[in-house]
Amino acid sequence: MKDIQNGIVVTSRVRLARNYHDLPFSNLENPDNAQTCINRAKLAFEGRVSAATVPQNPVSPSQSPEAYTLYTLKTMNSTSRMALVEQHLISRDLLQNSQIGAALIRGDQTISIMINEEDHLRIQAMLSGLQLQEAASQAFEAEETLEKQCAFSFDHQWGYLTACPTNTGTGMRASLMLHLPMLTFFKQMGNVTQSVAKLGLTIRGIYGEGSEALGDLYQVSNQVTLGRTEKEIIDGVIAVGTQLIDMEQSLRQRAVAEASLSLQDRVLRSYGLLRYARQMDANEFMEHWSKLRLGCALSLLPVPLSVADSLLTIAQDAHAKRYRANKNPSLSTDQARSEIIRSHLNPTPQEV
Amino acid sequence: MLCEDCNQNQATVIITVTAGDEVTTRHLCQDCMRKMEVSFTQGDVQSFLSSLLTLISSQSKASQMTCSSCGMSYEEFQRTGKLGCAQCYHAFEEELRPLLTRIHGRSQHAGRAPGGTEKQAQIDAGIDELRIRMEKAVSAEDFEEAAKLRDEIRALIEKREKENQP
Repeated sequence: MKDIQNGIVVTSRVRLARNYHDLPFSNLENPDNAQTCINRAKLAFEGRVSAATVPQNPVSPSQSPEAYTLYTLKTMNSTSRMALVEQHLISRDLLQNSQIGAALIRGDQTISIMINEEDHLRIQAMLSGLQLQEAASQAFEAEETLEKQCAFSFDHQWGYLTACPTNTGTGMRASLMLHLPMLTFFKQMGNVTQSVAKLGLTIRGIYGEGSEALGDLYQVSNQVTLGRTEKEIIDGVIAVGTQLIDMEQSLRQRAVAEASLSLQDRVLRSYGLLRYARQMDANEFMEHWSKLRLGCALSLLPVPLSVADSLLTIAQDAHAKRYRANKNPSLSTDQARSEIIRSHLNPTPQEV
Repeated sequence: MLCEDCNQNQATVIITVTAGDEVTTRHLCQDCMRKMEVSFTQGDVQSFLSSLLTLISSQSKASQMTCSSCGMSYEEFQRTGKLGCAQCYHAFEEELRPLLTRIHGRSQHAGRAPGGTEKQAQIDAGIDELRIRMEKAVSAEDFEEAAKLRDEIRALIEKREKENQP
């Protein structure tokens, strides 16, 4: 069962919006207040925080998994900032506040605390697979640590007070990132989106704009944050997530049983392109990545799911640009992307 | 019927906003509808929300009000969809109450409170809110709803007593 879930659920995420009770919500026009928020968050994790020493290389894997690193956006170049966005550790909205924005990120990347985004704090816990409850308890733990420094805005009727009324109450957004290639292929996502909306939840494509969801990746999350407990919200997202998992899984089983050859053909064509192509743009990558992940999940390919999932991050634009800058500035971004992909999918990079 | 937004053109479109259990209907003209559609199809939740905010409170005189703590005007909030500070929730309470209820379908926080767990005062506030709703249900002779609320109140009282025990 767990394998089936992991084959479809990429990550579970919980984020909490919180504001310190004694400061106005937006710090855009008040750098002193912005700095106060950063200092408080830093102090809360006293002894466990270091500043990013080489801001060009965010989140170095060598540091201890429980240590936090403080990333101050204004000290980072745009590629490094985008790399954090691609890792889902900060939001695009934080980039708009780059003069005051910062993030405290745990070494193992499970916890990321954005500072001075729309709210003073956005506490995020992200885990792989279906682990929404676990992600929630990790987010609450970080929240309690932060709260010890200074109380948050709270009202007995409205709950946690946030800059935007769509987050008021629990301030919580619980979301699952789902890989749904079969539901997409059979054009079922439109129906799903409509029925999910009635439950106070929303489902949308993660990559790409408009109706096309690049990589067949979708995010199911709660819309409603007031009047429901955190547990009710999480249960609701899991209930819908589980239904989508069941639907996707039964379509996958049918494809394996009834159209095995054409399924294999599609998966292996994409695998071949990923392994041997010399330049690939982001859209083409996402198209083949989806087949790659499906192939991994159905054990059609000798590639672990974890490799597919890490490629999803490290073969995106900012990561490719950073690779190019570090390894070989003469490459184009698309060439750098192919090199990254090849080095992860081939036993030895020099093989071909 | 005239458009509820511009009050000039004939309303030809009915839009329904579903938030939780509550359904709100607005009658709009083609022009106002198009304005709203544009913001929605651009996938920009913020501007969709602010156009919704403008719609919802178009008849109210609230836009002149300002928050005494941070100085933000209600008109500014309608434009940006973002409040200035915690006090804004009190300053604009009359306008925010229906808005929050429309967005979330409910108007009483039920989750965590500072300190990590639900606190006494919060349970009390929940009981008060349910009592008011129960009285309303009784006067509307909706006894089924009233009985449901009575049971919810009982459950909360039990919870409060349990939490009081050492």
